Amino acid sequence: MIARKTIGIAGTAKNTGKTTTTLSLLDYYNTKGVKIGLTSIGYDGETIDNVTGLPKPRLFVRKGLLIVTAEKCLQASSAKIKILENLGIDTPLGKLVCAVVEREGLIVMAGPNQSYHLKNVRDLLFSYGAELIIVDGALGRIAPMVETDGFIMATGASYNLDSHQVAIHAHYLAEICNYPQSAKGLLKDPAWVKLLDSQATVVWNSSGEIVAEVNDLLLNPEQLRPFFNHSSDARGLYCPGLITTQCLKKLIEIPFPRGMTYIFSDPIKLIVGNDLKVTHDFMTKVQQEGSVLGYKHRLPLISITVNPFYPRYRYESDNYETAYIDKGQLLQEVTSLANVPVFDIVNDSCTNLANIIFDTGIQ
Amino acid sequence: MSRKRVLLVPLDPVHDVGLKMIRRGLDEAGHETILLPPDLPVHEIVQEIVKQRSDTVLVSRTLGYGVAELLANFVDLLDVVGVRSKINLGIGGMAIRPELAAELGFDAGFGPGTTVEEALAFVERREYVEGSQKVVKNKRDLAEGYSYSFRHAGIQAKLNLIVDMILNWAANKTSPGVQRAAIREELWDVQRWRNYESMTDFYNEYKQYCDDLGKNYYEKGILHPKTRRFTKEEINSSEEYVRRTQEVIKTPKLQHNRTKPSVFNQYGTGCPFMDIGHIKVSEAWGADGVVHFDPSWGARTEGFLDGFLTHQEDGTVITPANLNRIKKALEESTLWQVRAHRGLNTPETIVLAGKIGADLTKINIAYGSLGAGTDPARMTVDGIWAIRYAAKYNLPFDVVTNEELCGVPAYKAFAGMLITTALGIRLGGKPILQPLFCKSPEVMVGGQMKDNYVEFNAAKIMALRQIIDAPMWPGAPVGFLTQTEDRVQSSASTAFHASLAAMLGVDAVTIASSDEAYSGGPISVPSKIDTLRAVSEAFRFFGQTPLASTPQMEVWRDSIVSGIDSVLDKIVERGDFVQSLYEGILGNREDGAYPGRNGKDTVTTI
Repeated sequence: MIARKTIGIAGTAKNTGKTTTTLSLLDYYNTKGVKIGLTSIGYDGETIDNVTGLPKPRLFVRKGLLIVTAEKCLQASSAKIKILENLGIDTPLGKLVCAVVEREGLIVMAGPNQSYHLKNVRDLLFSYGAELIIVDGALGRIAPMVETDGFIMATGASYNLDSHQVAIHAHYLAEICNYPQSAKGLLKDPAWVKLLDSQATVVWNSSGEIVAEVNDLLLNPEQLRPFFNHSSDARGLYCPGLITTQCLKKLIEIPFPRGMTYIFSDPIKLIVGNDLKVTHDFMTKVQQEGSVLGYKHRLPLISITVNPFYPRYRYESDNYETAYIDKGQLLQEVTSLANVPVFDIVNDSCTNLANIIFDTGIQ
Repeated sequence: MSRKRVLLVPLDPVHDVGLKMIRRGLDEAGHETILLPPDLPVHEIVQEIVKQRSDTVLVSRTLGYGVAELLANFVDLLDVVGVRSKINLGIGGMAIRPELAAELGFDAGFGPGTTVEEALAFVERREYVEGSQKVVKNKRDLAEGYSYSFRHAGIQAKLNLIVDMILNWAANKTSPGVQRAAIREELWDVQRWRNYESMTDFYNEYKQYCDDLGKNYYEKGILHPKTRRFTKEEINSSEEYVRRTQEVIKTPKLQHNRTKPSVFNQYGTGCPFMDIGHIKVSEAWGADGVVHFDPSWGARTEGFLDGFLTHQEDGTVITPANLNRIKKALEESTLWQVRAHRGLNTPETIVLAGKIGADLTKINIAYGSLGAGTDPARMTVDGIWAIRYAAKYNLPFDVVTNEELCGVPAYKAFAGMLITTALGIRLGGKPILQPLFCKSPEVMVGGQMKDNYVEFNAAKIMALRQIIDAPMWPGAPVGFLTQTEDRVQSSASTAFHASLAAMLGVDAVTIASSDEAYSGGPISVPSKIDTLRAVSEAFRFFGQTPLASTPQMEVWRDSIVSGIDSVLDKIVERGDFVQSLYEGILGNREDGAYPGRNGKDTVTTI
């Protein structure tokens, strides 16, 4: 038996294999008799891709699966579905409902599409007996993954045709998500842990006193100016909100002493909208200076799945066709650079991925 | 409703016209709007949203390469900075659909055709009920607001003499058609019939005045050879079709900012089930009214059959059951015309149509006698009674002319139309003038349409307006003889003719489908949609632009008026309307008009 947990499946682009990964996991857990709750932060199960017009893998589900999806999606599903509860949350496709599959078939999913709602959905699915919740991601969206215990990233040729670039991106993601430690572990003393209750971005000194504070959201490098005046007595920094690439670049210029402790809310705040290379460079620099990095909420990237497929645009006919890059090379390059387990979800058995999910969040 | 702070974000490099339109609507509704400049970097927009503490953010963006990723990232940023749960986030633009909005993390997606009302409902967090803004169509009384007073005293005086002449001639006359209408009027109760109650009194009396077709039906149950009854299964699926269609149908308005003309088209495939399908399509594409077409043999037959019957050729058989089924399938706003302008069942058609609930009918003694094959004496007696019943059942009737198919010149056809009109007014009816907008034999020979189709058609309306204050309904259908087998040409031509009707401010217009002249069988559904779409587009194009009068129109107007006057002179001089019909004063053999022979010698003296 696995402890109750929520796993997200995100993608670096469309057509990277999110749905295939989901299907593979659903199948695996079905044979193991694990009660699964499934929801989506995007729109899944459609026959034809909204952008490319190419056929997509349909979501075939079996009896007993718990789902949270928008009302209008039920009409487009062939599985027999019994509604358990209406959540009263509006989406472009009607209100969200919690339901159970009574007879196997195809479904279309569109669930909560913001973190705030995903939290409620998660709690509800657990209350209906889900042991594991799978959150299918959406095109390029990662923010709601903050409500999961860990996520799988699907990547591949759709993200970039150059498998080396795919591998570098996967490497950055894995490092940004997994390298920083738990803030509680870093700060240890409960009095210091209290610093993380701050609603502002703060810098503290060796006695744990806040010496400077600015806005929680670091959008504009100018916001960091007050920290220059307090750089010498600083020992730690905590930012509860988003920090942009420009601010990270500025942050690195502040002459803080070696051995600093940098704490951010979670990896998502360093990823969304940012140049991952800059984030990664920041982390490397911090490390070189003997400083440490931590997250208030860890969000491990537990695995990467790779997909050589991509939709190739045809100029002659203004449409897309199915195409692939070298599968072996893609798998090999991503595995060698990304410090997490990497799978070719179409060819590999799901057992290893499931074992990794089993271990997630146990530390 | 509390005042909302709405931030309008054109994420597009240039396009923000949709947002500007929505902004006007929101401002008018009392909300506070801030429109950002186009093409700001995403981070700046997010900052602005945080700073403005907006309740609602409406983004416009046309979908294109990489745009979905850009939008997803934008939503992620809002989520990460913690404002996503505090705002109502909508997206609009070309190719935006609700599925895509869901996928990208928005609360709503608005595609092309979104109304300001929809955006307003979203901003005010009301449930948008489609249909709350749906155009609610009401039936128009086409005759409303007309005094029926004559503007041309000379013509009025002559028409009065002719009406006296007709009524005196007919005072002691009757016909089997008049008898059947009286029996239908007295003994046939629509409620009893609908309840399947026995109506033996009626049938026993009625069949005596029918010809063999009717007698065989009522005595032996034999149907017309080209008809059959629907099966139980067909009836069930017809009812199911009507039910399902009525649940979802919307009835758009074609006229843009005008209130008229009401747009009619015709049905009459022979199969009432198929007719109902055609009617529902016409309604769904904006037709305001539909016209029932019966088979040509219906005009030559004494008496109606009954039963839900389908006919294997053009024209849908008039039976109580057929009319009743069609009536039940109509939307409440749809005007329904059952024609009775020709043939041996003319007065009875009106009694039946009136009892079953038609809105309009069609009567013209001159056309029925000279263009539709009914004996002039019979048509006159029956026509008088038809008008009396139309007045009783409050059915306004158009008085159609015959210049198109027969080739009778407009002034002669109009003289006949005005006689029926004057008779109608005298008998308390509400006649509607129906001049044809057509490329008739008269103009093909005379060259009036060598340059354009506008001036001669306009001159017809101007001439009639100079004579009388009465409603007008060009038909039937307009521009029929300008159509070809090319559907685009036919649709365009139909739309231009309908626009001419609109610009002349007439009350209604009957349009053809794009294959009406060349279908070689029943009209097809797509071709009905063709012309309804084309007319809608043309009405939108011209809006309320009026048509300027030209010197040529005035010349033709005057010649039509004086032509009418001279025809009426001749009838007054002849002293006998029915004889005038036989003798060709209202259209002779040279014009292509032949006095009809159906029902000859059936008029009897009481």
